[in-house]
Amino acid sequence: MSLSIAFSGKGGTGKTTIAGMLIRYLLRNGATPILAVDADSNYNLNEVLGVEVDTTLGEVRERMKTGEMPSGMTKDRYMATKLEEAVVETDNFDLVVMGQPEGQGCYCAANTLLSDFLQKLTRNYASIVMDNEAGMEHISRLTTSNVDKLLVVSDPSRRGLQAAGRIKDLAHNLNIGVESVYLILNNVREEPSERMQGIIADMGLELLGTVREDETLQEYDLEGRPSFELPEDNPAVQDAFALFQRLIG
Amino acid sequence: MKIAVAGKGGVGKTTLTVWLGAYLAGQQKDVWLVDADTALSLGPALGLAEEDLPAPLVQQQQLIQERVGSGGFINMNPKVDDLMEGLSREVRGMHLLLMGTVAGAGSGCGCAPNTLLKATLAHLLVWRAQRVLVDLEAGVEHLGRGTISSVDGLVVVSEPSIRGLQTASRISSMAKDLGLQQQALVLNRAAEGFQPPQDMALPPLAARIPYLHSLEERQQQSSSVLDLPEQDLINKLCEAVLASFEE
Repeated sequence: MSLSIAFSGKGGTGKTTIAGMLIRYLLRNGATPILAVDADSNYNLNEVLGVEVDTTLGEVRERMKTGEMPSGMTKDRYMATKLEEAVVETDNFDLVVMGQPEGQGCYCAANTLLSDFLQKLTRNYASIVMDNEAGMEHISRLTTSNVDKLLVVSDPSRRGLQAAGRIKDLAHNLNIGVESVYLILNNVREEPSERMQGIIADMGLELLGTVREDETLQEYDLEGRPSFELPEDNPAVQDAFALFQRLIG
Repeated sequence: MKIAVAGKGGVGKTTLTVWLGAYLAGQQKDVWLVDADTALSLGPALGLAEEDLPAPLVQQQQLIQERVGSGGFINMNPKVDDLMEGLSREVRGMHLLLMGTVAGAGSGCGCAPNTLLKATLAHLLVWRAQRVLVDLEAGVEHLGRGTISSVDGLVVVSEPSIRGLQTASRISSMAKDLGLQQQALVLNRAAEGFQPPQDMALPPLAARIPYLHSLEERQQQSSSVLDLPEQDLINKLCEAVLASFEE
């Protein structure tokens, strides 16, 4: 059985960066092979990981829907080939990018093929790390496989926490079998005040831990350097590793 | 004037949308704010408590059944013109409408809720003459060409980080491909001398969001981005953004 961990949270809270740190942690612990799934339509997990993406699954789906197909091949076969091509393989992990959301019209047929493909694909990995946007639209509509742990990332702002609370509720209403939901507070300057801990508890969220605000990380971000390459003794990386250890050992 | 606001998460799209809305409402304009971001933080940013938010459109299961249908035949062009007032909430002279996330409507085929959502947005943008501001999560490509042709302008918000700017550039070129030529870049949290890189295909820089100490302090306690002491700075920002879409 593979371990699948999904990230969600309001935009800009650092979920992609922390998802990158988890991939690194899993690599270090030998929980390989690893599949990284970027299910945020503003995708940038590849930039955090430092890999190039040619095609997204959304683009393949769009092509399938608009019917631009070569002759002499069934639609299913052609789409299967194209979907396989969209898997980015590196020495350390594989990455698929969902990309653009659905446009106008009905996507049911294309989604069925895409969801079959994802189901088969995910069977090949020991660990699956998914980066989602707050609505978790891609994951809920396309994967029937279970999400073992959902990590909701928030900054210490009121709006971030409200979004986190809503995501927790949404996760329970979705058919994705989320086993447990945890909150990660990112970009913190100090340990959460009693007031903030109260807000978190009121929302029924369980705080897994905090990740410190870090200047080096911000510089990497500004310059577009993959934070995957941060030194391992970086305080933010250390914080993240500590909370992953609590989560999965 | 109908404006869509897009950009990477956390760059300040929602804050800017609320400020623009309040600025236009202050000029006695009829303003509609549409939250099409699944984080649904437009309401809280207007100062609404969670329990006072209107129900997101995708959760109106009965309405979706009635107007679009489910299973078998669905009506891809549902009637929605009579729904607008009932679904929205008035906040400080503006109408707020929440789209919500399609996933929330349950698993299975998402065509029905999606259709109602798109028809509603299209109706607001195409038929109503009001000022409409749409806070988007991703780019505009899911709106469809017909709807996009009624949008007067796209504001792309970004931070000076490469990831933010790359997202901005991607959103901008997708929108251009779909015929939305009028675009403006708004920078947030950028140092004074920072200039967007020339080689990234970004919209022309229209304005910079000023750093507001009061807002940073406020965010810890409250979600509202209104009633800040620096109102003149915010007005100037809104003027600059809107001016870039005037003929």
